[in-house]
Amino acid sequence: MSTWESTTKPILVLTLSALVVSLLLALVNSVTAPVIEANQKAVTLAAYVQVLPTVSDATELEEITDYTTAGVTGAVKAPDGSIAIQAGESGFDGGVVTVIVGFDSTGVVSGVWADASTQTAGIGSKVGEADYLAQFTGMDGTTNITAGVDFDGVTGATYSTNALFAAINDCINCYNELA
Amino acid sequence: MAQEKVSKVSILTNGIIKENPVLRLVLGTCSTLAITTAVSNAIGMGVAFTFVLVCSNIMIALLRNVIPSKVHLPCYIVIIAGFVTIVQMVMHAYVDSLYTALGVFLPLIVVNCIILGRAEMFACKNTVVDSALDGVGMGIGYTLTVVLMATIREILGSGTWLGFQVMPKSFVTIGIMTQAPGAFLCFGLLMALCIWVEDKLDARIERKIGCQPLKDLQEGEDKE
Repeated sequence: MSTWESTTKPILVLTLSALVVSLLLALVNSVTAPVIEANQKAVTLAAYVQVLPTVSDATELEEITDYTTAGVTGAVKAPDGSIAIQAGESGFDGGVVTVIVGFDSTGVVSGVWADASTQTAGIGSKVGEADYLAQFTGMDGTTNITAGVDFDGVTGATYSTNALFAAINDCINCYNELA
Repeated sequence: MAQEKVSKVSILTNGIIKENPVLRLVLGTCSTLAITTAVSNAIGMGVAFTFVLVCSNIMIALLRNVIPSKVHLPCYIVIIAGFVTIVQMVMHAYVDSLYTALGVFLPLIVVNCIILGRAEMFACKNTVVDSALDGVGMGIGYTLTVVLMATIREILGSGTWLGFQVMPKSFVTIGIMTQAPGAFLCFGLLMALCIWVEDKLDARIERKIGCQPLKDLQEGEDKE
């Protein structure tokens, strides 16, 4: 067998196919990436509005960037002084639980939103259910909370619960930093 | 088995009962067991899967004389992964809820045995048209099976079908059906049913090997 058949051709064919596929993916990505980004932004903005009862439209929100708390990924301020903070902590198997906590102008938690779709469906994902998250509304937003002491965690989902509580505490710490 | 001329129709229908990828070839069971908790997920997965299977079968049949045997598996994987990533990006952009629901099982289509199996057993030995038909047939077989499984699991486990309440409110849902053991139960019963139906129809097919290349079928069973 010649070198062409045994070595050069396989290398060339594999390289070429990888190149062509990469080019195709880059093309598709250039179309879908802006759409994905816009979708995610819309979801986040809707969640901010959801945890801030005094805000009815996302255009009223003003973005804050001067925070240093670890884990925090975004924050917004409403005209009446209420603040919403987004934070993420990794839960089961490295999946990030994203949490948005709303604080009213006096530091009381006005709502908690969580995306736990990265956690095991039917087990860890329960920490993202609205019924469960409702328990946090009305709590003092200036002191950290502990699972099992201040509020119950989700049975059988320790990792996800810990991630949720850690992310909420990140938001609380960030609120204390900003307020 | 009598000498059989393999028609285009039989290639297409092979995947539905005779060589149903999930129930008879027992390939791709991982995603089948995982995503059949809801009918909407099953339909989404079925469509994504069929798209990837048809596209990769066509590409591989087209390139079957170009790809050297030394690197055929890496080449197939690159092609399949390319199509899966395209589906993933498009789904993420336009059907975000489905993208979230399917989670890790969408990218895992890359290593789904059915796709690689069809590439290796069929597409690399047959013409483009036959391979495309095989992809459509297998895709339909997979989609029908996962939708059927999801129907059973969603109705018994959640009392709904495609999200609509179909069982009376008094119906006590069987929680285990939405969990992994329910998936195995359902899977086993469907496999048994598939064999029972085949027996009843007196169409039981003697299997020497699965996914025979067409050439072998056409040349007949003279080795027996």
